[in-house]
Amino acid sequence: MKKEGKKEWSRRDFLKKTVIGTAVLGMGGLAGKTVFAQSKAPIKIGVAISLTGAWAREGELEVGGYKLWGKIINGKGCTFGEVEKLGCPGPGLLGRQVEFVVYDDKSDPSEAIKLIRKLVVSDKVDLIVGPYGSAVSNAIAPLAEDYKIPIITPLANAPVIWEGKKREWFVGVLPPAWKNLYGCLMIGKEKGARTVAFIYSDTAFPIGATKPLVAKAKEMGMQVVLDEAYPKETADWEPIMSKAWSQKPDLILGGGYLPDSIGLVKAAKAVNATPKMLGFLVGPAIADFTKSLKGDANYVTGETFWEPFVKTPGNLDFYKAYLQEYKGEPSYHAAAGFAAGQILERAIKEVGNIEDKKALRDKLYSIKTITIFGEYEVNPLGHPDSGWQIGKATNLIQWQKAEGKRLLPNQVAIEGMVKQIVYPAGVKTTDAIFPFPGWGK
Amino acid sequence: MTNFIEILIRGLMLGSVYALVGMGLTLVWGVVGIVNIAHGEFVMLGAYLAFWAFSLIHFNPLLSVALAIPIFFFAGMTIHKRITERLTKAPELSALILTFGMSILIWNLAQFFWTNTYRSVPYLTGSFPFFGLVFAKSKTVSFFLALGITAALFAFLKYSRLGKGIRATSQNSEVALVCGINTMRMRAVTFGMGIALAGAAGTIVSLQWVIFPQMGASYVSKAFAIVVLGGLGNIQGALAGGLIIGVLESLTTQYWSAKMAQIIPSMTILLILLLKPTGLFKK
Repeated sequence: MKKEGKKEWSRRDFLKKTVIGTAVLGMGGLAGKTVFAQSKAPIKIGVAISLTGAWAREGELEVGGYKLWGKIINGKGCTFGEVEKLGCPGPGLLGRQVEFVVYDDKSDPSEAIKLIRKLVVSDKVDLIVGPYGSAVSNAIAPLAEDYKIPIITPLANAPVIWEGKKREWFVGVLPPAWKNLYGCLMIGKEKGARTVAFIYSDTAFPIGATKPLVAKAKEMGMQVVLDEAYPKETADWEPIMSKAWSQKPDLILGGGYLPDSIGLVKAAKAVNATPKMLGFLVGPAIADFTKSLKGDANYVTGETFWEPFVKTPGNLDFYKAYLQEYKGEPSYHAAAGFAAGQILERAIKEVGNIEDKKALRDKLYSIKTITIFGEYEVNPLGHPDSGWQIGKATNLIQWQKAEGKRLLPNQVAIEGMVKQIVYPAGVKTTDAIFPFPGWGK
Repeated sequence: MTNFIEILIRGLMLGSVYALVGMGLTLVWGVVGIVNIAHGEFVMLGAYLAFWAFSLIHFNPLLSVALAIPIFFFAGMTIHKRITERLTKAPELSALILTFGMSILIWNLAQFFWTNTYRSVPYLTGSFPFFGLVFAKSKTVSFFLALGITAALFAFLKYSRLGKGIRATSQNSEVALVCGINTMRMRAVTFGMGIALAGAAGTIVSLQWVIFPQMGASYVSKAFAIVVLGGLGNIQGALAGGLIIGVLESLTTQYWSAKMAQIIPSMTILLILLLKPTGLFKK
């Protein structure tokens, strides 16, 4: 449904425009300038992404990020932040307009494989940007190697995609799972924490995220007093929290998803557990967490990939541009999509042409930069996990009292608390409150 | 030792809520002869009742129990009269399939109307110390509430005319009928009571755990273990069964692992069915 006066991009419109042919971006208001740019053939970027099916919403948001990047590039020749320093030579990238050829993979990895073949063979796209999620990314990764076309995938981080695969044409943007809650250990270590208990859901992502963290804690000289997975059916977290707290650790880390985080905080309060820091994987960064727990969310830490107020170069400009374009708040999906565009922008500008795929690939594997989404650096060619993102840190958030704090632009208070980024140093908005002052304080 | 006593008492507190759920299931199963797979869904609905009453009109979640009991009782009676009564003489499988369908329908509707958002009632959070031990406020209050409901249920079944009628129907439906007891009415009342117990347990659960549309499943599996442990239709057995499962879960988590604790209900079913199929407390 299209609302009058709103530049809303409904899925129907979107599909109509994209599946039939190509979406030429950023034409509005630039007719005079683009005449020159369009005298050169456009740069065609292929996307096979979920626009229907299970991941339709995420796919739609991600494409929103790509599309916004394309529009800004086609308008002024550069986007925001670090990449702006390379210069804004006028409309387009290397003087060529950017065009996206977008197909719907229906949230089906096998459909995505067919579409990538079509993009390369029939549409003859110059580059490909990734789909949504690890499942589809893993399915299409071998095609990048087959066709020798670089693919950058913004929203996939499962180890199975890169671990030991020696990918030579496939790079990621999301930080690997093992970077989660790393900030808790770093802050804890710095402030003298000696013991840590890990309690986490017995499912793939929490296990994948926690196991390396356990090793890291030991490596840092901390004593791991408990390392236990609880069943995913758990509805009462009090027994496991009580078990963890019986060891009186300095840090209690782990969790899994949103219900775990809410349940674990309730349980911690119920057994009067007062470790110096509580940190959980998915959950604390989501607004529902604080709405459910109210004041008890205070001082709890958790992971986030990106926030509207995170101090990455150009983030505020991206936020404003997104808001203006789509009349709604961007999510991290859109931010990651936009960031993938920025990484390509830097690589293409530094290589100076689009035809030399190998040079472009080499550049994607060797550059170290920062986008609105955060750092970018992948394991280099020749590394067993080549192409896997290693530069991007996850951001550790901590809920803190909003009272007396000057809020950053785009930072909102919920239930009298505000989400602050406390790690890593480069993007933190304030210092972590450590140790935990106690419940209700 | 202090820790052991603390864990033991926490297990009893946990078990008291399991017992409420189990007593509802065993009543319906024993008296009405219906295996109600949808029993857990009524726990979920009870939790949502407390949640919405609290978030929309700031209704005290503890008082929600008083609200839930009549609402769920009449809802249960209506469901029985309209739907499940016709299955009392049918093979057990029919009731099993019907209530299974009912369960899917209820949680799907809950998901449709209330979405999958995880909710909780931020009331009575925190703990209080007791001679060096620490207990969750919500669980302690819930424990006494659950015990109160259980005592009221026992008194009702033992001393009231209706209660005696229910017991008579449970022991021998045909003889009860010959003695002039309206067994059809007894079954409807019992079904209503079973659902009311589930609803009451749900409101209590809302204080302690996270509320979401599929939450009923974990309770129904525990309730089955309790029924098997206590003996079919045996209320006292269900109370003891609930407390045993709660304590076992609590101790196993502390001294073994949380994963093992989750296996306890199914292990209990298996062992009891192998060793004493009539349940621990059935003579």
